[in-house]
Amino acid sequence: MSRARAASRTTAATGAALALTLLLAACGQDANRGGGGGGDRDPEAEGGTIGIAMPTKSSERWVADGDNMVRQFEEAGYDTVLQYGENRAENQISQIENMISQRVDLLVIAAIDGTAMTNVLQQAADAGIPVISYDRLLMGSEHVEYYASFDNERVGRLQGEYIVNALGLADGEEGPFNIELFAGSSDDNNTRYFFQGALDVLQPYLDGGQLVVRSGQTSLNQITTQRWDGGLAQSRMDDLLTAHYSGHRVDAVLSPYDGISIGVLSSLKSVGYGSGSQPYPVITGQDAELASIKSIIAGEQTMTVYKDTRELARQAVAMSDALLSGGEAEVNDTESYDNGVKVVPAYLLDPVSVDGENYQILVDEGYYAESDLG
Amino acid sequence: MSGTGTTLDKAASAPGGGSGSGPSGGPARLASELLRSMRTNMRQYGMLIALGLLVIVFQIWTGGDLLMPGNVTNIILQNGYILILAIGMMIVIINGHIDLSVGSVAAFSGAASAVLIVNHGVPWPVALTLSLLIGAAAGAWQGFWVAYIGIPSFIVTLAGMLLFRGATQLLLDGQSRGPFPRGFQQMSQGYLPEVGPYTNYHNLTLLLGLLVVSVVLFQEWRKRQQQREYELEVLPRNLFVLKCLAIVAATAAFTLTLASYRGVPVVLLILSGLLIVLGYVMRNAVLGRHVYALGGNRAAAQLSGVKDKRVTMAVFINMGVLAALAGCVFAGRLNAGTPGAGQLFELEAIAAAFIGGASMSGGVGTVLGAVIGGLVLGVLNNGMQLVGIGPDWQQIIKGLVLLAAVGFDVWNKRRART
Amino acid sequence: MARAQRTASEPGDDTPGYILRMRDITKTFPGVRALDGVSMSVRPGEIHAICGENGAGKSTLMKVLSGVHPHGSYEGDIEFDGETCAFRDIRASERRGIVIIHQELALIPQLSIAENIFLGNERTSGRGGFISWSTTLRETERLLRRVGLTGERPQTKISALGVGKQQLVEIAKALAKEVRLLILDEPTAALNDEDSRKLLDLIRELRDQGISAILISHKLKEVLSVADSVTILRDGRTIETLPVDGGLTEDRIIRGMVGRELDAYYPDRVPYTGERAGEVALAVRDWTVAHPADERRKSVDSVSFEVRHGEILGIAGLMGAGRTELAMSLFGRSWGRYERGTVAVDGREVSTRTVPEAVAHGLAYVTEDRKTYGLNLIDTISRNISLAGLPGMARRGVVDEHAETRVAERFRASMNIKTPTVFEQVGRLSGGNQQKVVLSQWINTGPKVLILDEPTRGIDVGAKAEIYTVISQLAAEGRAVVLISSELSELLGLCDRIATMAAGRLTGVLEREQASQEALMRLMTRTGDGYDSAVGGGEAGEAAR
Repeated sequence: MSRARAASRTTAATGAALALTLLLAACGQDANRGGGGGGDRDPEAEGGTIGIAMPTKSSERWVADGDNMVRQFEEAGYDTVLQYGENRAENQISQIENMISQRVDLLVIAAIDGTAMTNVLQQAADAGIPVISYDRLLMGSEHVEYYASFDNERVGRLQGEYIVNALGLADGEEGPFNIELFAGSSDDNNTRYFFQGALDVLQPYLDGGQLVVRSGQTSLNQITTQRWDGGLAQSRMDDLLTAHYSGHRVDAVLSPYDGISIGVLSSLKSVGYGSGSQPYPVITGQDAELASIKSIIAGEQTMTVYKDTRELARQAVAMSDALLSGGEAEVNDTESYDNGVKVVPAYLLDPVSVDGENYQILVDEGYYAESDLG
Repeated sequence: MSGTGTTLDKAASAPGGGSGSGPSGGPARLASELLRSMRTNMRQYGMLIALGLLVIVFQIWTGGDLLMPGNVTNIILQNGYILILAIGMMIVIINGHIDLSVGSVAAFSGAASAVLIVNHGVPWPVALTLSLLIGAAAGAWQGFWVAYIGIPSFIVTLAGMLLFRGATQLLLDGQSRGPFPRGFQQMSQGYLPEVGPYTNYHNLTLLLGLLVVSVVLFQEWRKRQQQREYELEVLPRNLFVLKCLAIVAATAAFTLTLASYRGVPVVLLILSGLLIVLGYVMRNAVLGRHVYALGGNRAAAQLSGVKDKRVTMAVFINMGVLAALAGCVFAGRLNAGTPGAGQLFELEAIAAAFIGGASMSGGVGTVLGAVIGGLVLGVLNNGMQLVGIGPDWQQIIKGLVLLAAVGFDVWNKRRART
Repeated sequence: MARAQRTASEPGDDTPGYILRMRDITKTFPGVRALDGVSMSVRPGEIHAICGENGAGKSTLMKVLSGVHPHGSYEGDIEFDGETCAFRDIRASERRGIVIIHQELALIPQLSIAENIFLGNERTSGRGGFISWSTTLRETERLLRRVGLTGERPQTKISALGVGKQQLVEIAKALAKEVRLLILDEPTAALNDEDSRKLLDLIRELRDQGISAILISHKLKEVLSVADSVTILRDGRTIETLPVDGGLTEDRIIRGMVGRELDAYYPDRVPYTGERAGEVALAVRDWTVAHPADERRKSVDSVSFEVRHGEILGIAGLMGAGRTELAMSLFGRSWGRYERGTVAVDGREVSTRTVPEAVAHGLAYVTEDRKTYGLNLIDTISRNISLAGLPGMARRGVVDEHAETRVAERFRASMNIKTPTVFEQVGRLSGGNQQKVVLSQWINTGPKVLILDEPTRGIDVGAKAEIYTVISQLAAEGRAVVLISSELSELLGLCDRIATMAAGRLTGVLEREQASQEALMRLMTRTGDGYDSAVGGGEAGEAAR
């Protein structure tokens, strides 16, 4: 082979590398513009840099949380580094390590797997970086300063109470009504709280026979939904309907999350629910996702639990402010959240039940614009 | 990474290299000689160059954060288990097979060690050994179906992927188990101990670096002597000196970087050990040769007396053990055995192997190539995170890089043929 | 170098009456000139046979004609139906009505007859690109009637058909493409007598309907019975074109095909005089192997023979006679299902159940298909040479790379392998050099018995002569050589004795002095008195000595 050819080949390789560089540069700018990142730390920033680790960009809720937090931290004079771990714990660990080596001043972590963070939290502690546990509790480590979340048992209770009221159980309706139970991802600490809260309310009626779980699947490990995946929930509902509801009606479905509710609804639609003679059962939800609010307005999903994540972000910012300025943050629960090593002081926000009658509060509070719901 | 660059020269120039000829001339001559010897192993050098460019790009873009000692250490810790898998995967692919089950096997062995240590109080070295044996058994199970029954490896390991995932969930009862004792965690999070007087640097690391430089230089020198002895062509003197200088500089830079942080991570030692041992086996052992021959032309290898069933079995057992090792390293890193561990590991390992020079049809590739491929992905991940590129764009870019790397190889081969 | 004679078409002869004229076709591959100024012409409505030894250039010529080797990759012109053609690919030639049926059938076993016939040529309805099954099935039935396959339904899967019927489907497929010139490459090689006769009848019928045919065949009887004229190729050149009339004999064609002075090619044999001279190295008794797909079919049937140290035993046979099957089944039972028989090396009965065992007992087999069974094309020369003998070059499982390189260099020199270094990829070498690498690999194992299967197939004349020298050296060193070859001249030039096989059985063994091409050919075609002979016992298995 001639030298000229060898040379031209090398040129081509260099060219390819250059093209890659340009591509990377182009995307990077894009990402920065989109508010997703903040790699170029501004040394002038007065407050310091906050590292924010979120679970996934594939869920509307976490994207909104991330955006809210970035905005509020920046308003408070901080720089931010925001990363999404795409629901894989190892990604999130790497991201947090990178933030630590980037010398952020404080970490706000919404853990993908709360139990898998002990090592990286130790690293943060070694580097003198305080950590706030956001929405999901970080387990097995003493290096968690505060926990900001909604009152998760209360979320479950709201769901349970809604079912009880909608079916008129408290008013003495005998039933029996058929109900099926769904829970969240087994590796999410909150799953337990949501379910427990709902079960506390429903248990007396289950015991009394007014509510019947025809599938018999009532223990948590039977009803969890890995990764909060609506598709999985839909498949499970399909199976339940085929196996236990030929000739029977589902009257209520306890769903812990809007994504799961939408999956369950699809399954119900496919076997004819939602027509005049066969109305939808009572279906709960959580997070007031746009798709679910629209579904509620359309009379499909019955309710959702609205948690103003802007408020949660505000709490996280307040806690961070307090930590970095050496003060004490406001907490309202210093007993409930034991992560196995310590009881983490927590600030719990109250969730709100939203259904077809009061969904306007979402617009009133500016959570959605009127046009979003149209 | 510069540290692997030192061994690269050795491996790269072994089969087709050392083809420089004639006495030295001017600088133009030198450059053309350099090109000539690079051409003989275009794919590996190509990826090494790409890795170098990637490092430079991100080094500039992150304002120097990328090559900060802490971050270099991070890159090693974050990719250790993937690199371990990539090494095994490369051998499987060279053998003309594929293993989709490594993520599940890794999860299973991590789970097994968690259950053994946390629930049954087994000392961690025993649990680790048992986990590796479990990995070997899993590999043997799959190797049996592939080699002796003749089911395509894609199917067998697809089945394994489901099988071992389910077994993991069963074993853990759907919950994470932790924490691990310190020793177990050290595999993925630990460093060489600090010894000797305070020097601003990590002393053992410096010593290790010195050792690596002297061994590699000695090897280079001896290889040159032997090539002379067998009257093979050798690199011209000036190129040889240049190569040695490059080796020294790269090793020194890498050593100093690590030494100014917390020293050599344990996982890097594990990785280097695998690289040296498996690299040697693949290059110099009869077994390794047979792996290449089977991947290159199975029928011809069989007719040449290669015991294909045994070799394939060995390859899968090796993969199983490495998957188990990766699983334990990963579990140590998470400090928990989790049912969701290892998801998509197989794809990352396969991508690393292909970026690092494997071919879909088997028969080509080197263990070192897999590590380089893995590092390309690792640096890309790390760099993109540092500059704050979101996961959406990260995945697009990684996809394009995989396509570009393999496309470059196909294009390169086609040019070579015409 | 002298250009070939243009016999059938003189320059400037523009008389119409030729459907195809190929002029001065030259095609070179790296290292080999496969065609060197070949010319031939075919009249409309004639069956034109092409004869020549393996490697004479027949297949290459047909690949040029059908566009497999596209226009521009060869020199010379092709004129079809009065127009100069420049086919870019096979589809281009098929559009003009030139259809080639390859030696290996190109049918897809999992699809039906109808689907195969219209594969790539689908009958569609409307513009949607959907297959019109009614048209497809109707036309298939018409085509099947035309080729005499009336018993089969269009929906029958190809895998359910025998080879003979498959061959007819191939022809039906060609007819579906409005074929005007049908090229058949060894169409009867895999067929029994009955099927062969049917096929040849069909070709005759088609000729009478105006479809010209080019027939490549080794079976000269066939050629004489169906062809109208014969073009003989040798070493990539046209030798002559002869009309087939009452006067043309097989011997006349053979003379044209062989045509060279044997002595110039073949080295003088130096007799082996070592201590084992005259002792039997390999003795095979009653070796019987069933076809892997059909247990009742005996691919190798009760074969017994012996080879002595320093002796070259040739095995002659037509395609499908069972020679390769014999060799591969002996070598670690790499082919078919073993039924019975024993192997003895140096008088001791040994097991050759697996390849490693066979190698350990001093057997070596050099395959006829080096690309599929012989070489790892993507690896280096030195590693290919060392592969079979690798354990011998290793200490405690570690290969001595320097020993390996030394061995490779030694063979490079002694075998005259043309390559800059032994670290080049084998795939880049010419066929002849690749063959030398395969030979080197096996010589390196130090075998007592070498079975060489078509060692000169598809390589050029120069390399052939070199390989002949190597073979005679091997014998001179005292090794026993079994040489399987389709080139009778090669066998006659090299061997001490020549055994012939037909339909899986040994049909005779001739001493070199008794052997002639004619005598061999007679034994090679001795398949009993009909196609059922493969099942019966008969006079098979005349043991050597």
